[in-house]
Amino acid sequence: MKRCIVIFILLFVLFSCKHNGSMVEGDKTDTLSYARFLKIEIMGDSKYVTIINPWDTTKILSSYLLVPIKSDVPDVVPKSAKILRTPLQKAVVFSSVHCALLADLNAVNSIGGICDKEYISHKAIKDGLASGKIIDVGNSMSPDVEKIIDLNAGAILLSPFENGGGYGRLETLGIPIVECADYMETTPLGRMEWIKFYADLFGCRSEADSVFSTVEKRYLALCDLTSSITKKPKLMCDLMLGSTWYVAGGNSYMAKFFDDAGADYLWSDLDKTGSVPLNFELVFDRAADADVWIVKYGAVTHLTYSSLETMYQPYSRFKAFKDHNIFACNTTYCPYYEQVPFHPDVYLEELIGILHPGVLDNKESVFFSPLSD
Amino acid sequence: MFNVVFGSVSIPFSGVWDVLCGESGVKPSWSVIVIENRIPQMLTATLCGAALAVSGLMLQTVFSNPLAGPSILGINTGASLGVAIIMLMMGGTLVGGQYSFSGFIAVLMAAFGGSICVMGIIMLFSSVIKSNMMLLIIGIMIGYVASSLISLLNFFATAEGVHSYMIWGMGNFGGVSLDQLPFFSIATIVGLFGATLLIKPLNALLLGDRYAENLGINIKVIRNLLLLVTGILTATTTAYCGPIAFIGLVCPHIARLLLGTQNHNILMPFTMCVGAIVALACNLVATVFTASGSIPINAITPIIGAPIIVYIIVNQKKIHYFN
Repeated sequence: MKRCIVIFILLFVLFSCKHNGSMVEGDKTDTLSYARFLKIEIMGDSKYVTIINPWDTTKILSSYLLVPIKSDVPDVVPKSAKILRTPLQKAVVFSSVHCALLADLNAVNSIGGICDKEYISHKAIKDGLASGKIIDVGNSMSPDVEKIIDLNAGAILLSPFENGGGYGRLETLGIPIVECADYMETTPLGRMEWIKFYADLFGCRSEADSVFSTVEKRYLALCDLTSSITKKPKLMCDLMLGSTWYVAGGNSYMAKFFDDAGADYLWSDLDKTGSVPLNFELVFDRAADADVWIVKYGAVTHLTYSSLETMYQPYSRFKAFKDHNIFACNTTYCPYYEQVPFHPDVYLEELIGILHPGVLDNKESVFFSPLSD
Repeated sequence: MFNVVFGSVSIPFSGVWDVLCGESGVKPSWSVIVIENRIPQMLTATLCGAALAVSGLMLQTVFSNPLAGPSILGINTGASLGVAIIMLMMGGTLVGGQYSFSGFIAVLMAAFGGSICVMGIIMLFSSVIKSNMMLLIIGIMIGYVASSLISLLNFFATAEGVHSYMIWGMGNFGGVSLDQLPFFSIATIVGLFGATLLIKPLNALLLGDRYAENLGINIKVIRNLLLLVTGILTATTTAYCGPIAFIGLVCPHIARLLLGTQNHNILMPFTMCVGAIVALACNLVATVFTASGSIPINAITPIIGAPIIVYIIVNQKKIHYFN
């Protein structure tokens, strides 16, 4: 009799475990080819989304169960997952990148509020702000909590930071916070692939799949084009801030762009995913004979060769300066931050145009233009 | 010399020597690094250290306060406010009529303008208020007002602007290029020369205001002259190098502790030397002992300065600086 009881208990435990496990793991995994920090599992009508902590990949940053409004919430919900009823009818979006993406996906009507309106350049969002359909909830670092409560939003989309210290009062509002860690992806297509998650949130997945597939094909075709080029121009980037020159690390998102564009990026050996602070002499020692120099800056007036020299005379000692091979993007007037993450093919095409003139047909530049005298 | 020989790029001594002697056949990049980067940086650190240290010494004497420094009267903060207006509000460009300035020139003009404005306000009060202590408090209050305006500008600024401003606020000696060096050097040397002309009244002020007046010193005039010289020195250094912390506060104390005298005839030139040496040492630490060669100066100066200030505070009675 005792033996029967033990067998019964063991069988009970075994079946209980199996039942829970299947719910947590999901029925099927959505195929994501490039994103490192995103996992989407299909669980019947619902989707279980896991965001891996980019700063400690052994941990999970957050997880969400996306349940369609028409369906019932499953009885067993994966542990610590936040439930989001999709498509989201109204969301507060903190970053201009995601605002522009949602506008591109024709989901602008689902944006209830935005932060940092000075960064927004997308016409549909600006129109929404002007008509009052979209509310400005203030600075993303210190948003107006009352306005957010009043919006009755289904979710808040924001970018997480390492050791950010939580989200303060936002966490106590009872509105699910969606942590958009896409900016930590180290490859352009990896970041682009997050479009699928955002589309799942706003019910426009098929459109997003089509957009992603088009961008992926175009991006890979451009990569194929540069892979056969043997003469890779030496590339340096950006300017000093004070006496510090931040260069993109060799494993960074930008370095991947440069590599795919067929550049010999001069700091590709730096084993870092973020930017690295260097001083002038370290940069000059390596990049004095760089062929091309691309500069990203934000200012009211456009940079010129003479203003660059006035700013800091030793800039004129670089070969790229002497050869007039500097290309600049003034982020005050160009939607660089809004457009590059989810239009990597356009950015890559432009880089190839700069690095390998004649390889592609001439097109009007979106981001960079040659520096004038 | 260490600042010219040692840097983040390893150049042998013979290479540096050849560059300095104008020998041909030297690697071209070495020539640019030594002549256009290391030498201006070394000269900037020397002059900036001396200027800040002398400013601190004069302010400590005139206010009879061992904790007075170039930042105490808000002149530093005035420069910071000027830069904040340019970087955070005007997108890094200064427009005046048909002229527009951007980048380093705009920052320089803004910092200079900001510090001169604050100095003007202080001097205005100085001609009205007799008490040194009250003037000191007014200086601190102006600093607070400027700081609150900077906080507001920071709050509404773009992330890029805040980052640029934060980097400027960390201070550096590497932003002055060879072509900018002459104006910086002339302004600083004029200020330092002006300071040496005030040695005699500074010694008289050590005896107290009444004794100084009995010795024929016009306190108000001298105080205004001291403020003018300090203002020129602080405004110039802050405009070119950002707000450098602690050197102005600490170096006069190091000089006093080493010399054991309050006589400005010896103390002032010695303080200049101490300031220059401390600034050069900080610059060396910032550029040589880090792989990236770009540690901000203000991350190093407090490590040297704070223990000295604590020592001064703990032993204030023993030291008897200002009777």
